Amino acid sequence: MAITQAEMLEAVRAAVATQGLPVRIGQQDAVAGASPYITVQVISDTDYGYPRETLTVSTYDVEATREARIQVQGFGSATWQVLTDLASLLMAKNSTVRVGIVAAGVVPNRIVGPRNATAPYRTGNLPSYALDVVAQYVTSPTAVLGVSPAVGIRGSVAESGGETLDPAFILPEV
Amino acid sequence: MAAAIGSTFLIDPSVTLLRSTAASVTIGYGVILTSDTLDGGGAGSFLPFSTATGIAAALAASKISATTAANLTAATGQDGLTPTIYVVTYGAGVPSDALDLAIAAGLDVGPFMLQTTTEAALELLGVWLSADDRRKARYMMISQSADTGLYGGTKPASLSDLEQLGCRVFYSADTEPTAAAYLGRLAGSNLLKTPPAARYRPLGVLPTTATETQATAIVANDASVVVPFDAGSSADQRITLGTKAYNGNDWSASVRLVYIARQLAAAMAGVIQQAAIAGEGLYATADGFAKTDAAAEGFLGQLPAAYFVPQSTAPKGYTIVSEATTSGDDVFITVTVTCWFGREATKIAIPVTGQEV
Repeated sequence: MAITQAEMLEAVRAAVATQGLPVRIGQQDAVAGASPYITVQVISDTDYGYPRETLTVSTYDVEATREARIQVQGFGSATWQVLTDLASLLMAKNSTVRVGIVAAGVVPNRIVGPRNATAPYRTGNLPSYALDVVAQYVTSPTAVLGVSPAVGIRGSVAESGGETLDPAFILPEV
Repeated sequence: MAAAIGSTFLIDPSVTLLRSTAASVTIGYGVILTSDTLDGGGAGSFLPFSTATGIAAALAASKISATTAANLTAATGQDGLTPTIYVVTYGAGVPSDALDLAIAAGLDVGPFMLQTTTEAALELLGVWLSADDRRKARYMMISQSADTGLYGGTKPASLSDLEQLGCRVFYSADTEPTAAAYLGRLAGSNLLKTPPAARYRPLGVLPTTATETQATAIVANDASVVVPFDAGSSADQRITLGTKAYNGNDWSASVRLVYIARQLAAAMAGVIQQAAIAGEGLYATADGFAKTDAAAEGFLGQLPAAYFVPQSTAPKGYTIVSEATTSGDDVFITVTVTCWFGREATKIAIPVTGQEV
């Protein structure tokens, strides 16, 4: 049970969309980007407190609180301001970003930074800054009785008012 | 912004850390189907080419014919990335069977062309492509024809099986490697950087002999043709007329659809693989939908804004809907992606009005 890196990536990408900076998952590219960019990494994601169970006739719900530590890093001096703004958006009580995240069930409750994380000597890296975010969230039901796993994923891709590829793919392929 | 960050992406009680699937920048390998003997391999065997040296060596060793060498030279000599073009042989067999064998052997076929311009053979390959929607979502067929019917009124009946998504027809009265040039240009396009273009500058291809009236008729019949551009005297003063697939759909939109379908398939394969590695079922519930939505967004979000035309109901120019569908007793997660594409302009019109004073 975890916030996935891909989802964090999308969240941060959406939050800093107006800055026009590329956002990637941290430590997964073979080479550094040439221009300023932002990376996102889920550092840890652990249970927090005890789970709460609810058993009904048709469902078995386990709610559990989890705490995730996410590091957002900016590479390039221009990213300092982006991270500063992101921190404000995440923590300011009435910011649209925080309201949206809280409404989705995730509560950012501590932020450290941004701090200067530039490697000190001859690394050749761009100046870098790190923002450490701690957020808590509650997982939803973990089991739905009587539901079998999906046998696969079908895809349908269409242009509105134009061509439709349906099915565009059926996975796993047989 | 709040809506974009909300329930769709952020919270998903999934089970493992998902590694995002790296998107390919191209639409797969370009393939030229020939009856060449290649390396003595049977039908379905294939050889890759990307350099003039490799082409010359294969020609000298009689692995490929002079026609294939000319097509390869055109395909690998275009603007853009230098693509790897595969030659797939069907020998004395059926081209589509050879293509099936090559695909089964793991060749990531994208755009393909048949070296012979025999219409019956083109039609058979067109039928093969249209026989399965999943083929149309992965492959694109580039054809070349000298059929004068392409400018003689309505579309010739002898090419009717090419009237479908993903088929493009170039008219050429000569043996110029027009289709091969476009095959290479398409296979060498970085589609993650910019949307594809139907109009391009073909290098090493002479304009065909067609009058202006004929060229206009060819374009009206949803085919394409290479004509001189600007002064038209040098090899780089050429342009392609025609922005349509042979079924009349916008070619750029067709390429975008296929590219998106291919990449989404790869992204969803990643979702299935991660669930399998973790040993957990993928359920057609909110949990599963969140995973498929995030994977789809992970790719679509990387595409440049020029790909889409934002709508009031789809601010990004596309929508992703994951839902449960059933087939007999089986449950599928169906991911429906709807896109709004802009059209490639067919021409620039500059009306100039003189005002007498």
